[in-house]
Amino acid sequence: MSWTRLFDSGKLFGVSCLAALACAQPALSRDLTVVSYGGVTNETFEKVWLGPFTEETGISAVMDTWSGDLAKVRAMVESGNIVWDVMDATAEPIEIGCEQGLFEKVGDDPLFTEAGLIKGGLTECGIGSMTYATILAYKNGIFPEGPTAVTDIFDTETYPGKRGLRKSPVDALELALIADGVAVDDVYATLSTPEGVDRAFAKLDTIKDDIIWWEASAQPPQLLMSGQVVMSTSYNARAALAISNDNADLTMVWANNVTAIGFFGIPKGTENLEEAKKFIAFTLLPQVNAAFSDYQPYGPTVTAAGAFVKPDVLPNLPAGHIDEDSLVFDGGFWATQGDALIARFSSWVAQ
Amino acid sequence: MRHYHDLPLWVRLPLYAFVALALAMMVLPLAAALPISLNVDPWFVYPFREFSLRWFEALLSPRWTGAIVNSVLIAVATTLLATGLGTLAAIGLANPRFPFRNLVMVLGLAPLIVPVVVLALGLYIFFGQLSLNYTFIGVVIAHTLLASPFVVITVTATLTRFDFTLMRAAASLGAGRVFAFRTVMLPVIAPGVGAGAILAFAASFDEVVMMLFISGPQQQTVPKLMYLGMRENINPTIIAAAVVTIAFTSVLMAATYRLNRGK
Amino acid sequence: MSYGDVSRDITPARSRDLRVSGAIRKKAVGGAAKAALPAAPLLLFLLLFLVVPLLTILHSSVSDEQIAATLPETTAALQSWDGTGVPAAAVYGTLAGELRAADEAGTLRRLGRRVQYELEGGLGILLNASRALPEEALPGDAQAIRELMVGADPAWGKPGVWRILQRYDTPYSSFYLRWALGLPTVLDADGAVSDGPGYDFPTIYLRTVLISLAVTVLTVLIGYPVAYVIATSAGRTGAILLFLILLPFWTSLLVRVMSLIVVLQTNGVVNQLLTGMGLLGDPLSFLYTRPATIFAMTQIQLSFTVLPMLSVMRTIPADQLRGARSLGAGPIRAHATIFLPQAVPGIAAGSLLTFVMCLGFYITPELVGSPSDQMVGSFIAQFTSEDLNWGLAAALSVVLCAGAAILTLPLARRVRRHA
Repeated sequence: MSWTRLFDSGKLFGVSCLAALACAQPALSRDLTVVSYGGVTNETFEKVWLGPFTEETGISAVMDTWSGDLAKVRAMVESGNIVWDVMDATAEPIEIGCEQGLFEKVGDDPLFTEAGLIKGGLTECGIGSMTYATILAYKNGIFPEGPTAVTDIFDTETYPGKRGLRKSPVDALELALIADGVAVDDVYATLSTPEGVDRAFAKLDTIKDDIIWWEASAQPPQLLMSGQVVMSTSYNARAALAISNDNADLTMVWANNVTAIGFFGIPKGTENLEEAKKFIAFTLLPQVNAAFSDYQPYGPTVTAAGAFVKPDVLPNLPAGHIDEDSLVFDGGFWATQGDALIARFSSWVAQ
Repeated sequence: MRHYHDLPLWVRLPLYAFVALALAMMVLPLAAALPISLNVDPWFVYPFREFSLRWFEALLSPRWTGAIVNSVLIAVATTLLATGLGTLAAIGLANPRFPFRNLVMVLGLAPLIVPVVVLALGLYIFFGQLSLNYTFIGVVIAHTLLASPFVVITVTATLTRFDFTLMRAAASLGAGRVFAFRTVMLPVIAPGVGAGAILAFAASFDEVVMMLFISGPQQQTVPKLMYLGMRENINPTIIAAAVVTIAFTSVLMAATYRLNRGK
Repeated sequence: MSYGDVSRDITPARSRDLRVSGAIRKKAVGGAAKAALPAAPLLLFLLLFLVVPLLTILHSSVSDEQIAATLPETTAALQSWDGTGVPAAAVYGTLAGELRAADEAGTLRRLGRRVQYELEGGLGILLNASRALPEEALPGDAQAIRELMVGADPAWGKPGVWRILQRYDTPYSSFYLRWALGLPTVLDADGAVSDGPGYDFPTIYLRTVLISLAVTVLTVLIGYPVAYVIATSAGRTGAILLFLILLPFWTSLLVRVMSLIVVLQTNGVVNQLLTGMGLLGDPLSFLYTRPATIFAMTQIQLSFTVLPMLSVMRTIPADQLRGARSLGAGPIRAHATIFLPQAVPGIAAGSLLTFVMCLGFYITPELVGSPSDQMVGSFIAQFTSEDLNWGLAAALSVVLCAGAAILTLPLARRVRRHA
C-alpha cells in the first residue's frame, strides 16, 4: 500500500513538473497528417493528392509513414494524444480498428455516400482509397518455366528456393487454403472454422523454413533483386514499378491473385476531423481519384474515375484481373476474426 | 617499439595477419557498401548498369533536409542539456564528501547499462501520461538520458587530475564560486567537457530506438529515416546518407582526437 | 542520510581532522550537502526520467485492472463461489448487465482481448455472450439470461471463464510476470491448463543468452590480439590501428548493418567473390540466419570489448616481459604467465560490457536475423508497439533486467575489486 502511495506521489511530482514544461510550449495547431505505407506510395500521395489539396483549400498537409499496425493508432486514441489524421491502409486494420472504436464512423456522411464509390468501397469507418492486388513476382532466368499462379509459392518441389511472403496472416492463410485445394468461393467459410484455421497453418508449416518474411511493400522487389528469394508475393504496383521504372528483371503472375480495396480511416477524436474529411472527399473527385494510377498502378475507387485512367496503365490495374480463380478479399471476415488469427500467427512465426 | 619486437617471427607473422584480418572485418564491409550510393538503379547489387548521383540528389528533398535539420536541432539541445547536467554532476561527484557517492555514480551511469528498449518503454508509458510522446521536448529528454553518462565519465576523468586546493586558493583571493569555476576549473577540465559534449552529440545524432518509441511525424531524424528506409523505402539514398554522415562523424572524431591530445 | 556513508569516502587526512574536533564533524555534514549541490540537477533529472520510468515499468508489469474495472460487481460476486461447476444464476445476471454497459462504453473488446490472453478463445466467448443478449431491456429472470449465454457459447456452462474472472477482484496480479516467465497461464473453457499455441519465452531467453555469450566470446578471441598489438605499437602505427578499431564505433549502427546486408546477401559481394573465384558453385544464403546475426553483433561490439582491454594492457610495464624472457622463458610462456594474468581485469570488464549490451539488442537481429533469431528486446518492442500489450512488454523488461543483474552483478563486483 505504502509503495503504491510512494509511487503515485512520485508520479504526481513528475506530472506537475512536466505540466509546467508542457504548458510553456505554445499550443500550435497541427498540420493535417496523412499516413500511408511510405516510400514511393507516400511520394505519389504528395504529388497527386496532398499538393493539389493544399493548393485548392490552403490547408497544409504532411505525410507520415506506418506499417498498418493498429497498436499505434490505439495508443494515440486511448491517450488522446493524436498526431495522425488520415490513415491509408489495407482493409483489415481499418475494419478491425472500426470494430474497436478506433476510427471515426463517417461512412454515412453525405460527402462520401454521394461520391459514387465502387461496390464495397464504403464501410462504417472506411472510405475506399485505391484498389490493389496481391500477386506473385519472380526473378527471370532462375526456372526454365516460371510459376503460373500465386499459390505456386507453396510448391517447393517444382520451384525450390527461398520465397518471400508478407509477415501477416492476411493473404497467407487464404492462399494456403487455396493451395491446399479449397475452392476460392469457400475460402472464408473454411477459415471461419477452427479446423479450417488449423488446416491453413498446417499448409504454411510445410514451407515455413523456406520463407523470408517481408513487412514493408518495398521489400519484395529488393529481396528478389538481391537474390534472397526466387519468388515473392507483392502488391501489384510495387512489382510493376520495379519492372517499368527500375529495370528489374521480374515477371508478375496474376492467377489466384487476391484483390482488395484499400481504405482511408480517421483516428477517433482527432482535432483535424473536418480537414481530414475534406481531404478524403477531395481524393474522391473522379479526376483526382484516377490521377494516382498515373504514377502507381493502383486502381481508382470511384466509378466515374475510370474514364480518366490512362489506357496504357489499364493492364496493370487489379480490375482487369478479377476472374473465377482470383479471391476477393473479405475485410468483414478479418474485422471479426482478425484479432485471434493475428495473435496466433505472431506466436507461430516467432517459433 | 616495445615488447612485441621481442617476439620471434613465427609468432609475429600470424599475429599480424590475424589482426589485419580482424580490422579488415571491421572496415571492409563499409568500404564495399558505400559505392552502392552511385548505382543508378535502386538495387544493392554490383555491377551497376550506370553511375549516377541521383541518390545524393534525393538527399536534397525536403524529407531529408527536414530530417537533417531536426537531427541537428535535437542533437544540439541534447548536447547543451547533457553537458550542463553532466559537468555539474561530475564536479559534485569529484568531491570526496559527496554523500552516497558510489550509489550516485552507479545511477549516473545506469542509462548506459539498462537496455535502451527498456528505457524507451518506460519513458513511452510515462510520457503517455504527460503528453510528452511525439514532442520535441520528449525526444530531447530521452536523448539527454542516454547522453549524460558520457559527459559524466569524460569530465570525471579530467577532474581526477584537477587539484581542488586551487579552488580554495581562488576563494581565499576573493573570487566568487562562479568566477573561480570559469577562470580556474573550466580551463583545466575543458577537454573533458568538450569530449563529453561531442560524445553526447554523436549519441543523440545516431539514436534510433528511442525515436521509434517516442518521436512523432514532426521529429523525423536522419537515423529514423534510415531505419524506415531500410524497411519501407529501400533504395541507395540510405547509403548516400551514410556517406554524408560518415564524412560528418569523421570530422567530429578528428576533433575529439585533437581535444584528447590537448589534455 | 547516514553518517557512516559519508565518512567512508572521506580521505585519511580529513578523517584525522575529524577525530580532532567534533565541530568540524558538523561542518562535514554541511559540506556533504554543499558537495551534492552541483549534482542535484542531474540527480533530479535521473530521478524523474530514469527511476520513475523504471518504476512505471515495474508497476505496469503487475498492474492488471482491466477486468476488475470493467466487471467490478461480477468479480466481487464471484468471491463467494467455490470454483466448482458454475456460479449461481444471479451472477450471470450481474455479468450480463456489466457486459451491456461495457459494450455501450466501447470497452467490451478491450476486456475481451485481456480475457483472451488467459482463456482460449476468450474474446469470442465474451462477444458471443454480449451478442446473445436481447437488444432491449435484459430479462429480469437471471435463469433466462444464463440459458441465453450458455446457448450462445457452451463455454459459459463450464468453469474456465468464471475461474479467470474470479481472480481479478484486485487491480494487481502476477499474471504478466508469470506469462513472461513461461509459466503455464492459458486455460481452456474447462479450466484446465491449455497446451495451445503460444510464445515460448524460456526458449527466447535462452536464445538471447546464447547469442550474447557467443558474441562476447568472439569479441574477446578477436579483440585480445588486436588490443595487444595496439597496446604494444608505438606512435603512428598505434594511432592508426586505434583509428581503425574506432571507425565503426563512430559509424551509425544502421549504416553498419546496412553495409553487412549489402555484403552478405545472396547476390552480395561475398557470394560474388566466392562464386567468381570458383570456390562456390551456387551462392549461399548468409543473410537472415543465426550466424549472420552473431557476425553483425560481433562486428558492432568489437570496439566495446577492445577499449577496456586496451586501457588495462597499456598499464602493464614492458620490463616485466623482458625480465621473464631474459630469465629464459619462451615468448608464449612469458606472455601466458606475465602479461595475460595482468590483462584479465580488462578482459573481464570488456566482455562484461559487451555481454550486458548484447542482452538488450533489438534492431540488429531484426534487420539481419530470421524470426527465430529474435531476442527479448524485439519482443518488448513488438508487444509495446504492435500488440499494445504493455503489461507483457513491461513484464519481459523486468525479467530481462533482473536476469541481466543476476547474471552479471557477481562478476561485476569481482571486476571492480580487481580494478
